[in-house]
Amino acid sequence: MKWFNRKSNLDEMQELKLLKIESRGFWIGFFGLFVAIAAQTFFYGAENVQHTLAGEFIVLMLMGIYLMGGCLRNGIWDRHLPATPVVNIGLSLLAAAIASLFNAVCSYRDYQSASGAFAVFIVYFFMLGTVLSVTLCICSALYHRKKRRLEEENTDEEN
Amino acid sequence: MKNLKVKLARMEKDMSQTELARRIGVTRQTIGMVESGDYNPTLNLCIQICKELGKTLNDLFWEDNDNEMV
Repeated sequence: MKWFNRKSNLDEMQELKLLKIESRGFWIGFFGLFVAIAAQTFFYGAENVQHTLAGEFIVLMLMGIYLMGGCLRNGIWDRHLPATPVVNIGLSLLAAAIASLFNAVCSYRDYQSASGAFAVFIVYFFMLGTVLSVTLCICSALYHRKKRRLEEENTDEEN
Repeated sequence: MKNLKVKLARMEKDMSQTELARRIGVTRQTIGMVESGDYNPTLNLCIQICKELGKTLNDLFWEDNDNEMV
């Protein structure tokens, strides 16, 4: 198979560039899927599109799980944010607020009830805020444990 | 930061970027970016460059306080 070269055709600089391109491509795909799901849910209603969006949702979840699993396995958290309870809970509440607002707007659009939309916002906010906070705190604990293990591993090799 | 030491060592050997790249097994673009300071080569590539140009790592890649790479 002369058309396929098992050894890389790229030198180290090109490999790094390709990795950056692939990384950006991943994020374009990830957020593109997210926006596509959100837009279709908003315009057509969640009940009407849940079957047609199942595929996109599964792909998005797989991408998220792979990214999270890979980072945790390698003791990586985030480029800029620390893995502290304050940051975790703050970000969870922010994400919960955005998602709850989205659902509240959808509810108002469907039922034209401001009080109903407000109730949706409150319920979703507390539910999502709790679930996200707990999930992030568990992941943060796993990250700290893995990082400690990796540090101890290197110390053992030096001895 | 530009790496003029690599460029000067290459010119001493009367070698073009293309020729140096060919001997090491990288692209001319990579050698160009190393010399212009736009790419930090790995240690392996630094060693390969040194071997081809007959210099040491200190000669080409060490940053002195007095003789900093421009």
